Amino acid sequence: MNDITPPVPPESPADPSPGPGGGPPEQAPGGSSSADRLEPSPPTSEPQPLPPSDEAAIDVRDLSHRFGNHMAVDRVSFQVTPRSLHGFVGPNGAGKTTVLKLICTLLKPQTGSVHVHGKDVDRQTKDVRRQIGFMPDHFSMYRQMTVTEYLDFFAAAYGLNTADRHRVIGDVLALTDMDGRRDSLISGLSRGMQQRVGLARVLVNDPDLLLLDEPASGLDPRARIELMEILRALRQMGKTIFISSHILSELAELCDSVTIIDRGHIRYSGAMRDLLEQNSDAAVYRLSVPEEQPGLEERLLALEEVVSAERIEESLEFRISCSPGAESDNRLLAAVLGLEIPIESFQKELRHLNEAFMDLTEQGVR
Amino acid sequence: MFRGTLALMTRGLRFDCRRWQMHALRFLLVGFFLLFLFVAWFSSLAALGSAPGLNFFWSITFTNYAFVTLAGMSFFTSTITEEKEEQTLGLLKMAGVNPLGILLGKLGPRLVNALLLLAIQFPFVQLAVTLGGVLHRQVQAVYITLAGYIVLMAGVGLIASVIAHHTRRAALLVSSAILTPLALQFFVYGIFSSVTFPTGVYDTINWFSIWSVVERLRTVMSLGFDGSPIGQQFYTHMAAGAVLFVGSWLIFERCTGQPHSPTGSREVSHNVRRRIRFRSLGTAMLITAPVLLAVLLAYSHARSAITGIAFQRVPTYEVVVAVCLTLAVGLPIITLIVAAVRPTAAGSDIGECWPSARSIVWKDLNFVSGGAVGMMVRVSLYSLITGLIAFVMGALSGEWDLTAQAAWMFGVGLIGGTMELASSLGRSLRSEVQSQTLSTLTLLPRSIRSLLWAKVAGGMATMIPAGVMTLIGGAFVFVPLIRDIGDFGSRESLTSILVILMTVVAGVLEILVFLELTAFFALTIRWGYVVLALICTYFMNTTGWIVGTLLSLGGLIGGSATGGGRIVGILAMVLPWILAIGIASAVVVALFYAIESRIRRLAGQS
Repeated sequence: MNDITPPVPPESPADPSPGPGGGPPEQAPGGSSSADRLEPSPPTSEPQPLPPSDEAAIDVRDLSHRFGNHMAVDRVSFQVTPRSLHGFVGPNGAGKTTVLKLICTLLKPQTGSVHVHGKDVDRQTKDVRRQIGFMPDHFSMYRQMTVTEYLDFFAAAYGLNTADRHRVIGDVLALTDMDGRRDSLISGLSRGMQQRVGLARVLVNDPDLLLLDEPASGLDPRARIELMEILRALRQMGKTIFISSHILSELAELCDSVTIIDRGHIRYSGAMRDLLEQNSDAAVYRLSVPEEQPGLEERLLALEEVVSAERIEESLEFRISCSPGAESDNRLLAAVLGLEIPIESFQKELRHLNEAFMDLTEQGVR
Repeated sequence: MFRGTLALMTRGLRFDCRRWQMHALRFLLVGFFLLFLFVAWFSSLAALGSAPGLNFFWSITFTNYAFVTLAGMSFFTSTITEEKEEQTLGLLKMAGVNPLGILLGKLGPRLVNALLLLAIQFPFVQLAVTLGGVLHRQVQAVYITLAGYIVLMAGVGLIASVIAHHTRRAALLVSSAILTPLALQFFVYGIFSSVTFPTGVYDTINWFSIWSVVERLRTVMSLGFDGSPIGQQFYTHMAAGAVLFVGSWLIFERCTGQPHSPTGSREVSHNVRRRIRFRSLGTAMLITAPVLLAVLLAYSHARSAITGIAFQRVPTYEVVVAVCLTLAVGLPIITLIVAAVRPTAAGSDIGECWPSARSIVWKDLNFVSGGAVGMMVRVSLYSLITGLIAFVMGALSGEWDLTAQAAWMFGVGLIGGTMELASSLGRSLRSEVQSQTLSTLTLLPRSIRSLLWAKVAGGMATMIPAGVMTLIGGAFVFVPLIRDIGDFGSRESLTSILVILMTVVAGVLEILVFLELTAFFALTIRWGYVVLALICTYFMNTTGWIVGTLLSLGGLIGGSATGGGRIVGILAMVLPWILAIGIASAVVVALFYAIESRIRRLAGQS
């Protein structure tokens, strides 16, 4: 038996869902449970106050921003736990970039508040700027500079002394695997490499929080995979990463928590796993056996916890559904093991983020 | 072909209709007209001039001439380059529009716009005839002259736009094409005033003068003009415009066939940067300094040793020319030698970035203003100009004296330095907008105001050579002037000092307004920001001058009528200055806040 997903400790239905990144329990903007959050909340619903969170890397409360007659962001509230990788997803024109710019101090909040590590972005702008690194969704570069000159300029602008600058530039170039191109002109670099230089620039002041707006946009698959690897490494280094992206499959794999925004309203904010596990009817597991097991479908159906069991086409895999409330990895796994059959893999079937995204966001162009 | 051309023309006309800049330009012209008309009316009322219509028409003509010249440097230079910059030229070709169609479709709307601007003035300018001093024939002749000049400028702008990859480069080409003949004219007049040439030379020069729009306007505006409204200048300008258009068509494919790869040119500048650094330039200057001193002290003796003339009789201007030429030629040579001898440093080519707020100065100095190479070129250029002025005044006119030389140096240095600072500041801000780096820059932990000051400092660093020239010239001009004022305690001296002080303050404020306008326009429009700032400053200056003059006159007339005497006279002289300084100060402050707000807005948008 291999590739079995480690069993999750049983949790009471009454337990609140874990907060983003496994952090403190989190409440949706509407104050509803995570199961309720799957239903798109009406945009006019009154947001409830979030629990106090001085420890949050990002604490957004009742944030609104209007461009002329267009309400880009409407009473948005969510939190991001320190040292987590938080995805920020939404359709085009949903307000993602506006929220990012409000967090990184490029825009001033018109109503509501944004705190970064407890500091108000409106009042303690300079302090916040020292703590963040923002990578916009376009190449924001001095293309006539070499990579070293570019990084040296930003490191100097952040006030690092010469020795520190040498060390930091070496470190960030090594991290982004750009050491071999340090004397290349930025204009001569490929798109993927320029993106890495952009990421290296974000890191020169050693920020606690990285705000990345569509960092993988326009990159080829290799460059995207490499970028995701760098982000994983950064998370391991203890950075909080807030990433806006359209590439949902990678976000699902990468992020601890996610916020989904649509038409200026938050549709979901919480742990990624919670979002993906949500299913309106039952928890679904996938069982894979190494060889043909006659009558296995019926034996599975006979188990008390199982509502339905079906073979997936002609394969040796079975999809098992449990009744709501009965979904407990351990209990079901124990029952399946009790059947004394050889098992190749047993894992909970998760929804794709795409599905969740489609469920939560509305159709149509803004 | 014509379908594509018409589509391009329609798009161009629609685009121009939507652009606020075009409407602002029209309003500006109307503003000028009203102003000039008001002055003419006031002059006729006060019986200040003999021919108010002529004065009015002169003002309009000069403004039109300046506008057309500036349009040639900016409006027409982006005809093709804007498609290159937006990378849409290839799409136009793929859509089946041939080069002739593109040229016609792109140039047509601009030419129509420019000619319409001229045409709409025509009925209103007839008022000049009513006011007196101008004939219908003269009005017709002037407008035909200007129409020909517009066609020529359109041709020059178009060919520069085809050749250059960017509007800035095209504008530089056109500016050189316009300014070089002016400089040559200055030089040639210097030669002709002192040297006698054979008649054939004069005939050739006269033949060339039919090209000159200034000469033609002078002829037309002369008293009793009775020539044809269509002069040779019109035909030559039309023909030259057509030749330039055909030339643009012929070279179009060659210049636009391959997409421009900026990497190559950057590689070259990168390699040059790698060799010539500020340290090399500094060392070269240290080596050049004793050479210059030696030339200064030994030139007269050396010349007398060679020619046998007593060294006391060697003209001073020759020493000035020798020193300037040594600096102009010697500094680049010595710098290149130093750069070749000095081993190339590893790592950053231009040395490490300056710390904290100065990092922005470092960036702008090296990557916007040309760095050490740009500085070297500027030192050589300003030295060369100083030497040329001394040469023209001394050798050719025979009227060299230190004060005149200093006045020229002061003027050239001040104008050149101001233009350099404006251009550098504008380019620095524009490049941030174009490369979408304003957001990353404003996210640095410092205020936008300090960012702006750093950019100004970066621009000021580029004008060090011009600044030195201005200071040297200024010292030789103002020190004797102050000395001439005499007794500082007397009322006359105090009035003179007050006037000088106010003139200086007003001048500085005017420069500040020009710089701020350039910065603001650089953040607002893609090209022609310096030209537009220049036009606006000129408008402000003209308005201020006219209003000031009217106030002074009004004050004097009122004073003499009421018997106010001396006090009223002083007040009439001083009050317009105070008013001008007050208004200019308010504009400076308002523009500063406008720039700050614009940067914040653009950073939020990018």
